[in-house]
Amino acid sequence: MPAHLSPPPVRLLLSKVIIVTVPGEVTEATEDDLLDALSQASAIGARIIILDCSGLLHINSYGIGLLMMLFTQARRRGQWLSAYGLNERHEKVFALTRLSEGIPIFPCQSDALTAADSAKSARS
Amino acid sequence: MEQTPMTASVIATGEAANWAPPVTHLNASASPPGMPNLNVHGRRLMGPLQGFGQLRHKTYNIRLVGAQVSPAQVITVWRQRFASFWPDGNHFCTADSSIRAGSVAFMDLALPARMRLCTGVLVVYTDETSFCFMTPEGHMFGGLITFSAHDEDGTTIAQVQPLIRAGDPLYELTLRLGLGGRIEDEFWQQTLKNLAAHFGVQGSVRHRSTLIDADVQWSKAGNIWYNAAIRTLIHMLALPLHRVQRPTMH
Repeated sequence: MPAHLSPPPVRLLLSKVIIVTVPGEVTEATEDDLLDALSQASAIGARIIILDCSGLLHINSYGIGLLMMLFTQARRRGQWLSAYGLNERHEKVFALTRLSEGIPIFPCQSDALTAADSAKSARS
Repeated sequence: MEQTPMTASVIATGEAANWAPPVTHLNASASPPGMPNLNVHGRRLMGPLQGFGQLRHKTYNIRLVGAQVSPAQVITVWRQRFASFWPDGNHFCTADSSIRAGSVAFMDLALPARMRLCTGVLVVYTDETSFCFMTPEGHMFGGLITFSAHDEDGTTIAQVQPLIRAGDPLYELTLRLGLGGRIEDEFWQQTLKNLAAHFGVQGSVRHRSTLIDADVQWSKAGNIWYNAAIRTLIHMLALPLHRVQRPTMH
């Protein structure tokens, strides 16, 4: 049995801009934690959700599928999803699976926030 | 950052080896002897975000009750003998007969009314207890299909989990009419039963389907240009002297 991971912290950064810290691994083992974090973000009223992937160590194919489902659900709720902090290996995985066409990735939090601000302005 | 044993193990063994290198188009200029090379070479990958139809997450699994086999052993055998577990009349092979991250696979599938559909997949991910395919343009589905095995209360369970959208409006229509879904369900149910029989056991296949997104993606309607069923039919009709040969071995 995998060790229990604490739910990823959800931080309210700006009005309706939420940062969700992605766990070290995104697999079947952490599915509930990630789903709970995103549900929490939605409950707060997030319109823009930024995934902090700077601590992501491992993602398997189930994890990529999970992010695809989360992107789809976020889009249905009118939320904008992006990610930052991916290492080069995981950026390639996002590109390979074309997940990056749905969840744009940025090198750092400031770039993600700049893009989020533009997205927020476009929506208002 | 807290790690599970899985993460630590994957990192120690080098996760880079688990994922295929990024590609923009499938490179499959030559297919194995006897296998049609149609609708594969030059195609882009088409995941759940690029498909047309409703997004569904399906799970088919079978409990290997009585089989003294671990999840890793199941996956090892499944990767080695993957094509042999497919229902009769359907063919699958890779250029080097192995399923590893980065392998391009060719498929020749049986459809109703004696039609065929030639397409392929890319093996995008492998690890000790799973492997995953991603489909190309023209395939019936835009999606990821994960094959895995895990332990549940001391029994190994083999599982197929498609995360899929119909590739284009024509495929989506077959699903809405009930035909496409029934074919898919029967396909994976038979595959899992064949896998179980290899380990000397029988069982019933459990099936669950979750509708993730009920909306179609009209912006992807143009995927029909690559529809592999149509293109296979045109190929067969246009070249009456060219026989779509069947491979002699799995």
